[in-house]
Amino acid sequence: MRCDDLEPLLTDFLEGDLPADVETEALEHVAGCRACDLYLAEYVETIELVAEWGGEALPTEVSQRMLAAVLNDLGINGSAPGTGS
Amino acid sequence: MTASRHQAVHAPATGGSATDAPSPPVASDRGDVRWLEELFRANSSGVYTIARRVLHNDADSEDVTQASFIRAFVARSSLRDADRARPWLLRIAYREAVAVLRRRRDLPTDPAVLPLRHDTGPGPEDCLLAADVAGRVRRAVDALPPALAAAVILRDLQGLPMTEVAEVLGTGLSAAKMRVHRARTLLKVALHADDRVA
Ligand SMILES: [Zn+2]
Repeated sequence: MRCDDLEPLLTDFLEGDLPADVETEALEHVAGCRACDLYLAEYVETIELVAEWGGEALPTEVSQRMLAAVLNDLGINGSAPGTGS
Repeated sequence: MTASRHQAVHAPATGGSATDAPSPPVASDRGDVRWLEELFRANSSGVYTIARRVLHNDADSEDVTQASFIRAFVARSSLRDADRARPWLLRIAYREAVAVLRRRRDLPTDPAVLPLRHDTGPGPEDCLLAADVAGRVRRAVDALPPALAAAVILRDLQGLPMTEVAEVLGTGLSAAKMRVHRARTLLKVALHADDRVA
């Protein structure tokens, strides 16, 4: 396996979806190639950074206002959004 | 309240025969209302996150979030497996957001080919915030084309299996994997280039 062959396999590699023989080849290449080892490390770190960011957290008051609007649009008297449960 | 503004995005995103004006639920639907409230509490931020990456605008993203839950409630009988409510809901949300984007800009139908945004690049204040990792990640994701941003959020942030990412995006499995991979590759460059500059 060459460096260029590894890059398109990374998603399947991390999903565990590669055939066993290809996975072994990939692992062997990474173990012996400093450039690909660094590339893989940065790729994995990128995934972790996205997970750590966590996305938007709607403030409770915004979330409650939106739920109230949803229920209102549906013609439902909600179970008092805002009081929680 | 945003009810009137919200009407603008409530048109069906999926074509089909969705009812524009859902009839009010009767008393026996009380369990369904509880279900909707729980669905909202568990997923409103996740739905908003997807909408925000597609639309880059707070008000439209709020509207799409509300419209998605309304649509989900109206279409609740089409959810056959309660355990799969999340991908089912996110699919509704993603379609709503893309529909609003198309209506707003009359853009190509495939969000994968939408242009990269250039108004989210680093400004002077971003240098000061270089240590704010979450802010950097957010800006980098915002700079992705909507379909790539949605793909990477669904997989790496919301942790959906790749098969469900494909389901939400309405693509085949290999196309979904390709979008996740392209998104990660672009993010990797953006985030690690920041490191070197900072
Ligand atoms: Zn290599």
